[in-house]
Amino acid sequence: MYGDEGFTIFDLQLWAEGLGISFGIFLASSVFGLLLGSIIGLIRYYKVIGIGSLLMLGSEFLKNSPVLVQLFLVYFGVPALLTIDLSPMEAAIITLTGNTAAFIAVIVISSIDAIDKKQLEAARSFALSEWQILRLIIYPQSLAFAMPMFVSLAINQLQVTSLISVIGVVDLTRVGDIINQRTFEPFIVWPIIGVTYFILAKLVERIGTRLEQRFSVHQIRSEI
Amino acid sequence: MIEIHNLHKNFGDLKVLKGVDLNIKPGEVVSILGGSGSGKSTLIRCINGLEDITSGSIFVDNFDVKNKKDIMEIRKRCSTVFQQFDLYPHLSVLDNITLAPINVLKQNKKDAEIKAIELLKSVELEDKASVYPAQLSGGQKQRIGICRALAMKPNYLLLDEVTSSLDPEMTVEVLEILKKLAKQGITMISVTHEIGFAREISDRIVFLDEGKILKNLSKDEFFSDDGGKSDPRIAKFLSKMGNQ
Repeated sequence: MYGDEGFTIFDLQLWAEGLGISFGIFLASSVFGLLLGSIIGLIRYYKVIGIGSLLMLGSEFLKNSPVLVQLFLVYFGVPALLTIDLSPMEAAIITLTGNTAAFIAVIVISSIDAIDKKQLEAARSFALSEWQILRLIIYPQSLAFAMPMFVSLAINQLQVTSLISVIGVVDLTRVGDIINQRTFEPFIVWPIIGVTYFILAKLVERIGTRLEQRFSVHQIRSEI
Repeated sequence: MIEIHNLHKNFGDLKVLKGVDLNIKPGEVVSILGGSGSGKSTLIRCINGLEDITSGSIFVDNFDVKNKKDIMEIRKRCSTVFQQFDLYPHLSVLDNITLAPINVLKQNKKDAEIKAIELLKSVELEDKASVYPAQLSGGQKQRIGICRALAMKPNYLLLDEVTSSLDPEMTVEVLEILKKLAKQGITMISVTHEIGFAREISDRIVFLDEGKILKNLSKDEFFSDDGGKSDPRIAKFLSKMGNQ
């Protein structure tokens, strides 16, 4: 009977669960990656002695090696090294968080670089604290620069989540695989899965464009 | 009162200031003249701690610029107007002016904005309150820069080559405002190339040459033939700047 059965209502449920897992892992690794990457970027910017360049070396490695290799390293390597148990889901979130953080760190650094530094000195001369300068001047301006890069990174990282199916996470891709093996209808299953990713990506892009417009008010105005 | 004693400032091996002594009394308008590389901008930047001093001392109203805690007090008392304006591009004109009063002086937003509008009126830019810096001309930006500095109600106004980035027409509009301020009795320390302006507003002129004060004279003495002009370096500088 293998490969011989038609679609059932259960497949729809499976699809929804896979969608939830994929989007959930994407969301979790994006949020954690954004936090971690921003911290790394800021450590680098404020030149905290010693660890700045070490962290950048780490993020260079994560940016320039295949995510699949990183996934295997975390899933098979880390439990062996630290003698702990790591579920596929945990390994997936850890890997994607690290990978996202590496890209975020670079975006954060280049966005801060893009700010005219003399205004920071002006702010200092008016007795604003370094924290106030970060919060009131650096953050809003660098966010405006970073937003388009964040959005294209997010869309890319969404596609990258499909790799986690390899270590046994039942994500959208794995669901597609399961249904395909049972129904043997690749030309129905994979287009549906592909379109699902496409719609998700478009959704992320929409939200991203909204945020871009919100945070770059002064740049839009300046072009009038 | 600003008291500068035996101030030295090095950038690596480069000695920019080599023992400057200068006192500035409340209400005085002092212009610092000198060729490029004479250290005049560095001097003004040392006063509010934008540059660390190498040796010597600076006290502003008895606050010590070498003391990290005192620097914030000094900065609240000294406002700078910058050569390149250095406004915050992501903030409206109004927010540019109220940022420090709200966040440093802890004024409430309403009050800070009312004062900002008053300042904008005084420079005839009240219609630009909601505009962003990128939409303004250089002269307008610098007038906003002056408002931003005055909003802190400073004891001392530091002017760092405020007209150097402006064309002649815009220079006039900025200088007119500064002349009015000088008449109102605000203490001003102005680093400038505009000799005509220095001559018009200053009580005293300090001439810096190679990191040292060559002359520190009242304006009338400085421009008299047997005063400042008797020094060949100053005479040369003045004639180069097209002033008799």
